Amino acid sequence: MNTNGSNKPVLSLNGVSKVIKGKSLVKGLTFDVRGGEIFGFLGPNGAGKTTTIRMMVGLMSITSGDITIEGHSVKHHTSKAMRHVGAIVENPEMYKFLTGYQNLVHFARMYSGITKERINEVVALVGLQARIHDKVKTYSLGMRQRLGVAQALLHNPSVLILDEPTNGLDPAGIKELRDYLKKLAHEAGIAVIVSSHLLSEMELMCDRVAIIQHGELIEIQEIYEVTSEDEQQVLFQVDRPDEAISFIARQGTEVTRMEQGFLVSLDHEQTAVMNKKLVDAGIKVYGIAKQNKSLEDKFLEMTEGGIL
Amino acid sequence: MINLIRNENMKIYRRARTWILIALQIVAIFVPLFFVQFNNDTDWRAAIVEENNMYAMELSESEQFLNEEDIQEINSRIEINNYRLEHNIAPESSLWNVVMEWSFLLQIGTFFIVIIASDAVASEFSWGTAKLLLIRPASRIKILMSKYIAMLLFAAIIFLLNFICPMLIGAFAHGFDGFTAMNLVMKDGAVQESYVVLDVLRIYLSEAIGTLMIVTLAFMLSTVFRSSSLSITMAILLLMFGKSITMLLGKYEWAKFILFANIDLTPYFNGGAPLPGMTLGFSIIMLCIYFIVFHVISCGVFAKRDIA
Repeated sequence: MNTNGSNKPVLSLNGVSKVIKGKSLVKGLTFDVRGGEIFGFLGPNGAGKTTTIRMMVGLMSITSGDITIEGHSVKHHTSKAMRHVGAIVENPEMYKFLTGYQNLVHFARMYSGITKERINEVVALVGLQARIHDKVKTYSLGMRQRLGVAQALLHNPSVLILDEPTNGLDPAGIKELRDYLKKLAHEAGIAVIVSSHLLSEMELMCDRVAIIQHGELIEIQEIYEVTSEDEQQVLFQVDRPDEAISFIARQGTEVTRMEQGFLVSLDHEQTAVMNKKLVDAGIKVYGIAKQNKSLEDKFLEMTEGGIL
Repeated sequence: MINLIRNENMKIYRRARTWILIALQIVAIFVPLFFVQFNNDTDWRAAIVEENNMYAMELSESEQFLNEEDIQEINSRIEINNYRLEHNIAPESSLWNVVMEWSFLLQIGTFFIVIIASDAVASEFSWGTAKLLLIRPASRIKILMSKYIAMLLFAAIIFLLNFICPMLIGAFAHGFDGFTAMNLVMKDGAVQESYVVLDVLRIYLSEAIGTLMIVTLAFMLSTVFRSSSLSITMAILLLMFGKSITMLLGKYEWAKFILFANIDLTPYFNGGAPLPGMTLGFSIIMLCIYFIVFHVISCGVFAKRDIA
């Protein structure tokens, strides 16, 4: 999973709750986020993701419990805690009448010790050199997103927090951002926290995903990258499923009957071999699909079933 | 803190709107030049007699349209003119007289400062930049105060423009000497001589105090309601009608505690009082209390607010 992470918790939530006008939006969240990992914050709209993130970055007060960042309490030592946080909350709204560079200077002045060289370094990092002296109102959404990342990284934060970062980005932009965040986490050792209501995105980006619902933590799931040696559930669609299932069962392989076909646990190579065996046995194979749906199943289970 | 103020200055002066306001102010200062004649060669006695005839006609013809204050003002002008004729004192023209005549333009300046004050906090919310501004190590109080100070710097520029431009016009017309120029004023029910330069300073000082109170009020409204248009409208309405409202309520004992009963200190300089029974000391204490209350409210609201 992590290649370079120090694996010590950089950000910790300890029984964090938020009550607004008697309504409990976040209920006793407790978890740690470690350096070098991308931590996903997954839940349907209105689950309390944004509220939690706003408490992390000091935009909202914490009703009870506390959040510590690099050991500093967000509640009591906000300034010290914020020194280590870079964030984009929702869309990165910048001062449109200023140039990209002036925007960065503006935010750089709010920390001590950010040099011109550092600003230029960050500009190069997000690849905005050519347009940085243009007014932000002339930027495309993708460029604004990159400027948003630049302002979040200016002060070398140890935690990078992004609220729904892929909102409004095109697929190419999403992939660019995803690769970039992976690099930041796995190479620079930054703890990256992203929130989203899109499961597929989370699976591609995150190392761990916390699923929350109605302000409560349902569970934290590790996401493994599937390698060709890993066995996966493979769904076969064939013309005569019953015959095929008994054929496979005879060979001592476990098989599960599904509505669309049947599931067999196979790795990369074995999938091809199984296909050949079926074809040789005279069974027509219409489709082969890898199923890695454990997270999706959980997510759907909790978001369907009348909870929403 | 210095850096925060530099940020706010950047956000004020990198906007075209600010320069339009400054340009409008300068234009406004030079407009009266087209209507004013500076030559003193005419017979001043004849001019004063004619002026008095005009006042007398105004009093007799439109008495029902004038309020008590206006009548008093016209009567004292007639009395000063009579004093000039009796004692053979020609009206002096110096650069300070010009500055005094031009001082009414400060009201336009106050309007421009109200616009900047009303926008300081509200615009961060309408632009959506509050979310990126308030996740920094700088405390919210410091950010708010740097906005307030930057606004005061803009106010200082407007006041200086209103002082220096008429001074240059006056110097051009009458030369730079004129520090000893005398003016006749009604004070304690009698005509008295006074230095024009001191009168000018008194006028600018009381205008500065009045403006400070109005823009602090506008700043507070903008912070509380996060709407610049609402704040501008309320501040301007109060500026225009505050005095009339105070007059209407003048019969009540508590009217002297209203901000607008205290905001104009000029009556004290002429030996009077805005409302019977009020003293300069009382007004200064009331203004201080209002000033502190406005700041406590804006700081309290800004520091505690959840940014959603």
